[in-house]
Amino acid sequence: MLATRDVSKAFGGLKALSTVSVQIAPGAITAIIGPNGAGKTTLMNAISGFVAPDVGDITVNGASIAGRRPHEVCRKGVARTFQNLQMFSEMTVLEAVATGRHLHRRVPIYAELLMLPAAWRAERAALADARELLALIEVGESYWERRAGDLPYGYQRRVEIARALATEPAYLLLDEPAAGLNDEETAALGRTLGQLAARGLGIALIEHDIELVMSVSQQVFVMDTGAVISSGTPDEVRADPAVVRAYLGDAHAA
Amino acid sequence: MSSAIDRRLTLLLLALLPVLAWSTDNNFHKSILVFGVVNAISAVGLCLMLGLAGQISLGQAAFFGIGAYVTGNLVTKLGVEPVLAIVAAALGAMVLGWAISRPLSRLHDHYLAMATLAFGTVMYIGFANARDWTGGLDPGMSVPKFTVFGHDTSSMNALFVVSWIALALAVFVANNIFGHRIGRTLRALKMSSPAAASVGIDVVQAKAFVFAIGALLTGLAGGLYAFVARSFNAGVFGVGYSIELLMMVVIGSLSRVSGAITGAFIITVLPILFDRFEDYRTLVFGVTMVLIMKFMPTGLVDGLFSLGARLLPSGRRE
Repeated sequence: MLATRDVSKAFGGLKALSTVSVQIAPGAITAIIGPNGAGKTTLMNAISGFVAPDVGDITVNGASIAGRRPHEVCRKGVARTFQNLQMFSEMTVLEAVATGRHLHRRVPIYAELLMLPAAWRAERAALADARELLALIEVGESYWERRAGDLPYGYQRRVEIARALATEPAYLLLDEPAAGLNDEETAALGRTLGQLAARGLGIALIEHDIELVMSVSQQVFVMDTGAVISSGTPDEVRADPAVVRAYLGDAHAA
Repeated sequence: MSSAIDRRLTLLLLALLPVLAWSTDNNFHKSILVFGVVNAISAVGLCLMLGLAGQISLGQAAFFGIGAYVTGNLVTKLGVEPVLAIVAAALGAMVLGWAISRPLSRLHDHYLAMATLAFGTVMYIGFANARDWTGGLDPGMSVPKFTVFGHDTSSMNALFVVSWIALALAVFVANNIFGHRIGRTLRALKMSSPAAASVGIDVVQAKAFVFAIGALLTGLAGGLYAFVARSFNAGVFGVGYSIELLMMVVIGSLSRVSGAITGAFIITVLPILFDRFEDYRTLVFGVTMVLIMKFMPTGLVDGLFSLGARLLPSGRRE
């Protein structure tokens, strides 16, 4: 279980998160939804180490990761993608994903500098793993040698997911993965996420596309103005008056 | 253009140098070649820092100076075997590079440029004033002849061979870095440091690594320089040399090893060729640099390649 317990974070006078507790289960898709400015991305940044929470704890299978730096969080098995693409644009697609494989490479630095046989073996393995991941995430072979920054937007999003998966995470945080995708691409993404969860991966999905959220997730947390206002299965959340109020305003509640 | 072409071009340049060295009996021409090789080693170091990792350094002259002065002191004061002294000096520069990168690790772009410039300036003032160790600006430092196990190897031919071997080693390591894991790590740093951190790359450590290796190569060049020049003062290690190094990697090609070597030779040789312009030397040199940057903004190597690519197909069509 990846969990936050009473996490709060303020930027100056703005309370971005107040006592937020969410649980992301392995082998399932957990959605975190809410209007703009609800604190979803701040929560994700806090979990992945880009923002240190003021108070509260964040744990991976019981071990605290609160306040750890991003690369340390990644090494604890929590990977992420970014709302605004953070692509290694000048690399080929294959290189960008292979970069995610470095984490588990146990070749000493002198062997890498001299390219001893161990380094060549690791290099071939990294590229082979990258190919496998790209195939899994349905990025066609014709794209592999292209400059990552030149790919269509939807493909870059997938490459980001493949890159995150390359670190062999137990939990994957996706920040609006369907933003900018057409209906067909969104449906394909939903299927892929379902397959990944079926393999045991715990997925946290921050998303505006309510249709995608309701169709793929097992658990939903609804946030508004920095706090969790509702949680449960998609159907439970849909029926919660607090959620309707947050999205549509008081006049529509009841 | 792929990295395979860069590798081949680099090897071609490496192979060309001995041919040039042995095609002339003129000792002055040979010494220019040796200085070019020494500068090329420095430039390969900066190419890794700036071209691959996007970490600008305007303080490389400090590492060059550390290389030269540590080598000189080890040889003159302690009688250390010259080759060992050069290796020790390069390692010393590496440690300094690593140490200096820690406080600078949060700085980017022009802030990093300013901080490294300040570092270089402070080190230069140190070199000029630590007269017991460096001889300052006057009389400077004198280094005995280069020897290997007591054999006199101070001829320009011998110095060329030693420098060339050092450059070949630098190129070998740089090529291994460029196309593989370390290169990807450093490029990731340059393209998106949040994304690099998100796949488990320790950004601070990666920056320290590239500063260390850049300083190591520039320090190695400094150690060789001590034996090639034999007599030098602190003026050599001022900001001017740091800027020259920057020009070498920018003029050649920021993103390739062959560019750093090409740039090093252009910046080493051109001012000497322009000697005939006497008083207008600096002006002609400056105008040449501006023209190269204007028409080949990604550097001479890339520029010539794209020019060739444009000319060849049209030639076939006619």
